[in-house]
Amino acid sequence: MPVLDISGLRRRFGDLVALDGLSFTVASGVVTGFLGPNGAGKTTTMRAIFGLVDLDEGDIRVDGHPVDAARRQRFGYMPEERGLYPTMKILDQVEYFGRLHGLSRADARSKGAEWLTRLGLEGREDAKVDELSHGNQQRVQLATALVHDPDILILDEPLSGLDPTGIDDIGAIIVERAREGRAVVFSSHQLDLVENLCDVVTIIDHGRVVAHGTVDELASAGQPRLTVRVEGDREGRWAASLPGVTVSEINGGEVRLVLEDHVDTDLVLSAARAAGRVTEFSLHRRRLSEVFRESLS
Amino acid sequence: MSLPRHVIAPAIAVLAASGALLRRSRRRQRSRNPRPASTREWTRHPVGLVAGREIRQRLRSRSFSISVLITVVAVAAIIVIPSFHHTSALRVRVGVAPGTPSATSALITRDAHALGVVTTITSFPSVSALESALHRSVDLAVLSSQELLTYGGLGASGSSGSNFLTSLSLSLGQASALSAAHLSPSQLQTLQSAHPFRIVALHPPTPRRSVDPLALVGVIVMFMMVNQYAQWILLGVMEEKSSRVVEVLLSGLRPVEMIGGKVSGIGFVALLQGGLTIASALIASYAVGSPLVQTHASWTLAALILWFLLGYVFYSWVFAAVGSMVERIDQAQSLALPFSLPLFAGYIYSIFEASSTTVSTLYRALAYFPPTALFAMPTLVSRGDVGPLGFSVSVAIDLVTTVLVARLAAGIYRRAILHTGSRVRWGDVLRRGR
Repeated sequence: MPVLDISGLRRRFGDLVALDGLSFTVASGVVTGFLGPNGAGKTTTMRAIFGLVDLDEGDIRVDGHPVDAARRQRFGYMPEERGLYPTMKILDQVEYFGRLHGLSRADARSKGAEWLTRLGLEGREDAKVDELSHGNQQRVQLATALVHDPDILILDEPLSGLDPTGIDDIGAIIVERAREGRAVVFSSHQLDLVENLCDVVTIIDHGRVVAHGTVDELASAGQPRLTVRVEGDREGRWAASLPGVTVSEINGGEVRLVLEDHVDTDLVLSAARAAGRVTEFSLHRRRLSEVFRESLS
Repeated sequence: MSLPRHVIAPAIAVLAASGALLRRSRRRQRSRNPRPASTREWTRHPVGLVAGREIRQRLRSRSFSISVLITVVAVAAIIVIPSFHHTSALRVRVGVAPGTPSATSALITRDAHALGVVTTITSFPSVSALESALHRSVDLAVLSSQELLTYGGLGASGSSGSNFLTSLSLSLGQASALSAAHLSPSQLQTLQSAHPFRIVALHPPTPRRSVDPLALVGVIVMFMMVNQYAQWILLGVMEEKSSRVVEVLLSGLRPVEMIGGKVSGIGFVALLQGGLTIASALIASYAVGSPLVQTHASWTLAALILWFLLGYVFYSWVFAAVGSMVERIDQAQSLALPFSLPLFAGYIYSIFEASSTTVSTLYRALAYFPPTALFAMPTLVSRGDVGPLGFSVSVAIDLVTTVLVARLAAGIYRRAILHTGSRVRWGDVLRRGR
């Protein structure tokens, strides 16, 4: 069931068109990746959901109702530019944000302590934000977004700047929230992580949606793809002149090819053998990075 | 007794207007922003939560403790120090030689009382004994030879001692002359009960009004506090912008709730400091018998408190808007300067006017101009230079202006607060939309 319905958003900043009729829906129970190049309109869209940006046109609804301040109480937000009070103790800070979202003092404090423990900050409740590392500040920021158990969680670049352990911890929480029936939207430029964590992906560019669907749908759509590895030709020069074949990625000798529908894979294999010993030759699905690049092109 | 009306009527009007504005604001908020019934109590209302955080943070800060200490000590010092220089009553030890007229002691006591001089009178058995006591145990000797002897005078010309000496000399001379005239008792009584002529001026000059020390001290303290707490608002808003926490806050709060909470919380802290300052001033005044505590002091004090609140709220919204446009202290200082000028000008002009005997027309006009009324109107009240109507009009102008300024400031805040990087231009924030 779609819980967040974003419809026809338009917003100009002077001559710059930030949002150009942007529409998509976010369902509960799934993790939605919200992708796009820098300046595509991701942050403007997220701010618009929270009423932080005035729209020229468009409508944002939750379960069919316009988003108002009361409904935003049930949202959790982690903005791209992290923001916490530098000299406030972290548990006091999480409690404060919990209370701003309607929790009682006791609930906000106990849930805040639970989240800090879950995020690996047990014993540091009385530390001030500016005494923490960047990664731990990011964990506190996530705790402030989660403390009131929001129905809709909107996270702008939640994984940037984290070490692998931090990415695993926060990634697990993002997926867990969705599995518990919440709607989770997050943006990231780390496309491999998005592919692993997300169920649905929305890609925008110039304020418009250019691709939307489940990760499986997007990966299996489009033209056939081959992964070929030929000893002695790490740059895939052998494939450059094949008609109907485009080299999409070269990664450590692994050459990823996009084939036009009429191309015979046997002919491709023959060309590869002619260049050297073939150690890998397989059909594959599109990676999200390929979906992203192809959607933008 | 007109002063009570100066304050009571406007105070009722202020309370009524505030109540109406609050009810209207609540109705509008409920229609726009319905909240669960359990969150309607003040302590769980967003404005209350923001205010509570401000109060906790500010009361814990060292700057608040230092500021309160400085203000309390400074005000007490302003009251107490002048009392050290206050001259106590002059004490004169008078020795009377044998053979002086019988009315001598009565005349000494009468003249001393009239000039505020305290005397102790001692009769000596001989002139030689009196002369030998002079300077050691006697300051002034009255001799039967119609002479007054002192060792070196009783003070400089114009002092109470010198005046007492001149007055006593005349009194004793007149008494001696009357005694020598051998008048009948009724003639003597007629002369002694003589009254001076009444002096009547057909065009009397404007009476010189004394400076009200409470208004003077009040204006100084009010300037210090409004300036300090408005700066706190500015720096608090700027800190929330530069630390980016404001984006998270505004995802759950409206800008007007955000600023309203900040203004309320810091306002509470300001009132706390004001209360401590007033308490210390009253204690110091009663302790040293300062003229600060006069008959009408309570009404001047009420006017000062009312105008402190009005002025603080007015400047808080202005400085909140300025704080939302900057991220660095140097930017804040340059942008806030034009808005600080009326505050400084009104303060300096009020110090000048509170110390003068007459009030200029320009100053009266400034009492109706919200940026300067906070200083000018209490000063006029303390002098009895404004009626209830004028006071009420000034309060009404200030309230209406503050509401308009608050709306404009909230608009500027919501357009500017998320703009980071370069300083926000006025043209950008005065346009509609964000």
